[in-house]
Amino acid sequence: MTTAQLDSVFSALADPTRRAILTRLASGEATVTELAEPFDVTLPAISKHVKVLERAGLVERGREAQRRPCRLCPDPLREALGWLAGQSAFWEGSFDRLATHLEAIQREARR
Amino acid sequence: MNGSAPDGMTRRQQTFTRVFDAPRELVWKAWTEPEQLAQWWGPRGIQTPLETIEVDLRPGGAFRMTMVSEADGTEFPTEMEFREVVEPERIVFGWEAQRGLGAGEVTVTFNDRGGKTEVIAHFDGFTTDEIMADAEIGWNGQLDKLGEWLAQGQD
Repeated sequence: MTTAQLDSVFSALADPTRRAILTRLASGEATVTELAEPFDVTLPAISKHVKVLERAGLVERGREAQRRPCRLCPDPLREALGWLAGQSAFWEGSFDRLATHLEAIQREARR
Repeated sequence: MNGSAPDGMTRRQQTFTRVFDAPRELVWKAWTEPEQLAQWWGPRGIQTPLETIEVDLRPGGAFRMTMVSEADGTEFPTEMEFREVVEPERIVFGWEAQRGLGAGEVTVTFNDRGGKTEVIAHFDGFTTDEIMADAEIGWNGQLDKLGEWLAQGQD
């Protein structure tokens, strides 16, 4: 995956409606009409979100002429989230403990 | 950082900033003394035993440790080297590709903020999705469900 592809994944994930669509697709494929049901937006708006997800490689659509169900593609998502999670988990976890440690040694020094 | 992306790898940069309520000299020591690194280095759920930590604080000097998972004792040996040491302002350390982790470099900057210290860790390196298998992953919000789904390896 190139940096440009990864960037398109991140910008696709930056929108709450698109994240909700991905979450819905995690439990099985769905048509655009089915995807639109829980949202208070028009079908063309959902269709546009799906196109963004398709371009980012996060969603693919079936070939059946009428339904063209949407499916989640795990690989780009796994890579993008894995990258974020690895770095974030390391630094957030380390910084939390470093803060606690610095507090403790300063408390100790004052005694 | 120089170099082109190895196969299946992506170059990424990311910055993590935190202000610590401690003077800069103290924060510097916490980063450079093995006894102190052992207290905090690594993500949640991971310990870094003191006897595994090696700090040779000079450019080209070794920066090594083995992180150990609290859950199952899985060991993550990490071989790094210091590339720049400017006390008490900046440390740069980097590593070659290892264990599915791409080569990378972290620049840590320590800024005096009137008795407090701002620490900026800037990561610049290559990554693959294999890292995810190693990482303790804190999925949040809507991404929780996606994370579970991905963990099951469905397609």
